[in-house]
Amino acid sequence: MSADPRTPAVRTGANAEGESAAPQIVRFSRAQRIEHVLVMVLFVTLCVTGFPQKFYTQRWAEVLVGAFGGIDQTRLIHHLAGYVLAIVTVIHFASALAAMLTRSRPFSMMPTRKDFEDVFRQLRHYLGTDRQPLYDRYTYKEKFEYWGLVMGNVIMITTGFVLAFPLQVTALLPGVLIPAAKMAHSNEGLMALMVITFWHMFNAHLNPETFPIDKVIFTGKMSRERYAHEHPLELARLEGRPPPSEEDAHAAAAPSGVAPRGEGDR
Amino acid sequence: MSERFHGGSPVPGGYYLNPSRWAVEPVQRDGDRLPPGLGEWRRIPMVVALALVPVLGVTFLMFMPAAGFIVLGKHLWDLARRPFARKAAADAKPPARAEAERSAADR
Repeated sequence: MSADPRTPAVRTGANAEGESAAPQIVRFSRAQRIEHVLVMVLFVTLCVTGFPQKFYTQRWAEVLVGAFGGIDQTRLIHHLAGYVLAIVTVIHFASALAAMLTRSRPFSMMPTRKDFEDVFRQLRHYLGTDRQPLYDRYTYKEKFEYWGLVMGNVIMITTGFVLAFPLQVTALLPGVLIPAAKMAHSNEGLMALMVITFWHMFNAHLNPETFPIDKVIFTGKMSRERYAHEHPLELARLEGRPPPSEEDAHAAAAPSGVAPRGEGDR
Repeated sequence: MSERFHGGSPVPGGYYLNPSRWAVEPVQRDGDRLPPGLGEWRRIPMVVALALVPVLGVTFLMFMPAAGFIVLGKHLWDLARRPFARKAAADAKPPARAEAERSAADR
């Protein structure tokens, strides 16, 4: 599970002119930010070296393979990136397991009943028939992306190892596993690309509330104002207040429905 | 029979499940408090707590893509039912009108 500070981490910064800036809240730790950058770089590397192998008859695939120095080089880079992603994933699982065993952090990425209800409520809000739900540390969208990435990584890494070591695998398991792994690896990779392109890119960049880019995952900080709009339940907990009522939270939101942007958000 | 606690109460260290909220909360030290709010918390073994996390995660992953279809289906169902609901409402006599008709008949 991701780090979830139990104590308030509100900081008041100052801008270049020395003026007092809006209070900032540390949302992501350094380790989380580094992990995100690593996954981002590895994902792009795996896509640009993997899809030319899937769509090898296409002209663009030839160009990409040529740019990497031939198919052997392309495969080597793909395999190396895959191994690094496997290591990153194992470290993430080990860290999450350690946190759960030591009970040092809440299970904030675990979906609860509220998340299931929030999905319907948010959809009704988009249709104009309900209010937007109040969110805690992670919204249902963030939990969906997280679990999609976790399960996607498990599938991609498992099938990737089956394809990288076919002789060793078929010495223990039936040979039919190889074409099945190839199909799963290739199609899961395509689905992951679609999810990242349409879902993640929209939420992180094209969404009116974050356009043109949401820098919080890179800086780790979010303005208190924006926190109050997007994660009012967590903010109340961090500040030792009772959870805000729906009326209070919605009254505090911008009249246009667009999140107020503070210093450091963009 | 697992021990039960109310939200906000101090509890022994361990893992706690709130069945009505489908939430699991780890409590690090004896005497730390459970999250406030509705629902009873039950102390559960560590193995159950750890197993619940991926089970709920994967269930949510499978459920999410269906949510839009469920909302759309319900919306279409409500639209389809609307003419029949209007007709039923029109057919039903208001109680005051029915009473007036009965009184007129008695006279």
